[in-house]
Amino acid sequence: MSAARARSIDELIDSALMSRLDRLDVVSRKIFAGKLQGERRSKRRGRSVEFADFRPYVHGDDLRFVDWNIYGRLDRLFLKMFLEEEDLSLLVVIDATASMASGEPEKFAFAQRLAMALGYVGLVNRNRVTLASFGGAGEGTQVRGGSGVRRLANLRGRRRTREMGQWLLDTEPAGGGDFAEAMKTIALARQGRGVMVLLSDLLFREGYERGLNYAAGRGFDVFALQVLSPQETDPAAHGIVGDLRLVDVEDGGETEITATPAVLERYRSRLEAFVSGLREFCVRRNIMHVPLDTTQAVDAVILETLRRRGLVR
Amino acid sequence: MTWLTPLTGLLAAAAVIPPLVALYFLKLRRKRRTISSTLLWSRSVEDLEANAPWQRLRPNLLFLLQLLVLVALAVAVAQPIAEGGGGQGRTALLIDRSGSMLATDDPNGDATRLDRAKAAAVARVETLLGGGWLGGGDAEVMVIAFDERGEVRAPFTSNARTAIEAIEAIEPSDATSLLKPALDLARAFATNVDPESGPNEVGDLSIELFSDGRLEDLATTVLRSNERLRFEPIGASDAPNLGFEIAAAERPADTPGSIAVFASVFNAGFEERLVRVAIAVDGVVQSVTPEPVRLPAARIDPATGVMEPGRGDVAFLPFEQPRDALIELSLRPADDLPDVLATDDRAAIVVPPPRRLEVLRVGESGGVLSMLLEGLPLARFESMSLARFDELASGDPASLGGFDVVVLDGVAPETLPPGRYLAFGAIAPLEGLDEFGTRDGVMVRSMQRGHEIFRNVNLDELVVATSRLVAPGADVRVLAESAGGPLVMSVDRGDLRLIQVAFDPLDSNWPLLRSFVNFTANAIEHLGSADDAAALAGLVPGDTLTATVRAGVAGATLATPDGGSVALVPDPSGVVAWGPVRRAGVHELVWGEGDDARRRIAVNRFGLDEGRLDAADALRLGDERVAASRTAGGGIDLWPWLLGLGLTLLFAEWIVYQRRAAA
Repeated sequence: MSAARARSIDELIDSALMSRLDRLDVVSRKIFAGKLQGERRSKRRGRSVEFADFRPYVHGDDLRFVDWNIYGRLDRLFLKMFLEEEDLSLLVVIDATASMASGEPEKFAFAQRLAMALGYVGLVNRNRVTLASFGGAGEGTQVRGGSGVRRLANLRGRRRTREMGQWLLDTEPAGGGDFAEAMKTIALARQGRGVMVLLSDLLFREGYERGLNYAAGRGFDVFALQVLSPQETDPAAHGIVGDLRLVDVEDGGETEITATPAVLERYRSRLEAFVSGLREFCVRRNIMHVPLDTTQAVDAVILETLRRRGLVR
Repeated sequence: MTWLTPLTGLLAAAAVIPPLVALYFLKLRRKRRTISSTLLWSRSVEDLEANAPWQRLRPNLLFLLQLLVLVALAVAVAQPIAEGGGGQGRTALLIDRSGSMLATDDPNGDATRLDRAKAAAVARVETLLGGGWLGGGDAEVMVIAFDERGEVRAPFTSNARTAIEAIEAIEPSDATSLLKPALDLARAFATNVDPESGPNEVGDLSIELFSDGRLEDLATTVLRSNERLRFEPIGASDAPNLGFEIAAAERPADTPGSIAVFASVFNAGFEERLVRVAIAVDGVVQSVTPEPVRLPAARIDPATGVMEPGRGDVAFLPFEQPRDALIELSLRPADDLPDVLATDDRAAIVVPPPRRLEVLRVGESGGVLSMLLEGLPLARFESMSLARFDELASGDPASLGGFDVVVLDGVAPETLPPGRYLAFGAIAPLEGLDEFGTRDGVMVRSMQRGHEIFRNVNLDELVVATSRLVAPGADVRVLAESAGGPLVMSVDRGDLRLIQVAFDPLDSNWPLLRSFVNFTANAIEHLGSADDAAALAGLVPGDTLTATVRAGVAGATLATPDGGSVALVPDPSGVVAWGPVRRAGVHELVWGEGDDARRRIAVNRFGLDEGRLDAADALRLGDERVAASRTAGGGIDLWPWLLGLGLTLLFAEWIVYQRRAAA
């Protein structure tokens, strides 16, 4: 694991990890319809060769799918319905607000590598991979309502790996951003449904609720990977001592503290309450909440944590 | 530990420490740290601030150092003095040797208070000049013994042996005790006089007082700002004492060959006492009071602190004593309680032999004054013209005939030889009696009614047609005066005494009043028996003894009550002087052979001045209260050390601050 931000694609994902990821595939807890007939069996009946069911003809149905044999026997029009095989859409949303550029190891560097690994899994399995970021700076940034959304859409196949890596390298965390507005933009722009993986610390002053509601409301199978640094999980052991004036990197807000045991204990209980509140929120909306620490190795996160949680197999 | 200005120190601490704590909260220097989000921190701090406003006060080295600096400075302002170890600076040891210091109320022996005071002072000298871990400084001590006067027994010295020998040589006195003369003496020695800039106080002066605290002038004595007084009380707070408050003897006017004696005794203890009084004449006990005299317990007024002793009076019937006599009274407790001061248990009175006066009148023959004098019971009365008087006075004064009193009846001699004079009308030729005119129609506005010459004299009805106006000098005592000036004056210049009436009785209605006869008789008695009165009154310790011996005597010897002997040299007029008298008792002056060449002088210690023996536990000098301090160690000023500590801490705080700032 490297604590520093990657400067090249090779640093984002090395060949050893790639070879281990080649055996994985992204799975969804739902089966979604895609634009292309893919490798997956969809619940959607349609134009595959595998018969699924009949249904009565209604006006406007394609007459090509009428089962004329039944019409001959019963004198009623029925449509033949087939299981359609569809591709999987993987949407990786990375938080590029300035708060992600903090921590040791840095939260953004960790999220960058994790996004690269997940995207690579999607590409090698010929899933439709889309990357999006909000709050950061970089080429192709859409500024809408202050959300700063960037997007790299519809990649498929291993050969797009370099393009995806470069996009991630070009993304720089900066500024603040309205999480709810950004998620609204990303969710509405996405055609079709799929798996959405959100990489963020989710420490938004305005709250995470509206943003996650937008993501879950559009039918995505949402995985919220909450990335926190050791400075946030155990501040006393990582330099938060004495009389301090804490400055928020995003909005510049200041809070004066004296890091007494009572204050640190209060912070820990506040953090636990925040995380448990987030988990409960996610459970209610069928969102998979996965708390991650930047000290964890990316391959371990993919091969163990996310496999256990059902994002990859 | 003694604190000189504890209140000031407390005020200083109260003034600076709370603001520091407040500034610590207000101006806490915080390190800026940028973090990803203050979302959770701000909520955490809000929770704690709402519940515990003092939560931020936590150990902080800078704050602790600043607090210690201020505490050190505040303690320095309180001026602590550590006891123990050697001393520094100048210390004046004031040792009370007054009458009350002869009390033997030592619970561990028979030592007098003076002995104990001397022992305590010696211990202090050994401590102050003996050194110690903080000693070896520039300490100097001065030894002053005092009663109503101060006496330097050793000037400022750093030699302990010199100071101790001076203390041990201090002798007791029966005089009263006054602090101010001793203080003034110490101040004078602690002051350097620069010829150009004048007196210059030399730093602080420590004064250590070894006394029972019964000092007469405390209310009018104040310490200066550079002076520090330490009071070491000597004596018990319940020492019982009996004594004579007054003792007197007189020859009754109708039987001058006998003597009547009376006395008043007091009880300065807090229990009722029984006493007997014995009288001895020329060393032979004549009588003892048959029944003990009951003396109530003394009381102390809680408001003023003044003692009201229990009193009792004793009178002895007149007894025959045609010649002079030494009457000695002694007081003996008739109960089992002690009496710790013997000095005031004795009283002595020297009673001169009875005699009638010889009077010379100078003036024109006849007149109302001549008639009056002829009617008085005098041993001899003669008249003389002014010219004859001037003639004799300009020659040998002894040729005037040795009259006791000379009455100047409206005449003013050219000179007045030594003698006693009563002058009417014309103003006697003395410096201090300057005549500057006359005034008509005057009446007496005020008079010294308590004076002996106004006994049974009422001048309210006196109307003077014409009175002489006199500007009295400094030593002229005005006994009666009108709106225009003095009417009756007295002059006492040792060998010359004069009572001057500023108007001629014939210019007034005085000859018609009974007061004229009484006044003239009183004045002649007063002038003629002045020596006898002085002898009867005696002296008190502290007075100067003066006596007239025969003119031309080359030397005299004074025997003191403690068995000592002092050689005295009379001046050409035959006057000897010695003093101050320190001990009570009978002093005998001898200047030749025979009874005519010796004279006894009684010195008595009467009253509560030195008879109140309950030792004070604190002194109140003006508005300042000095508590008793019985510690044996020397005082060391700690404020310079505290100041140094404060500066060191300040330096340390600066270093810590710089290191933190650099970090």
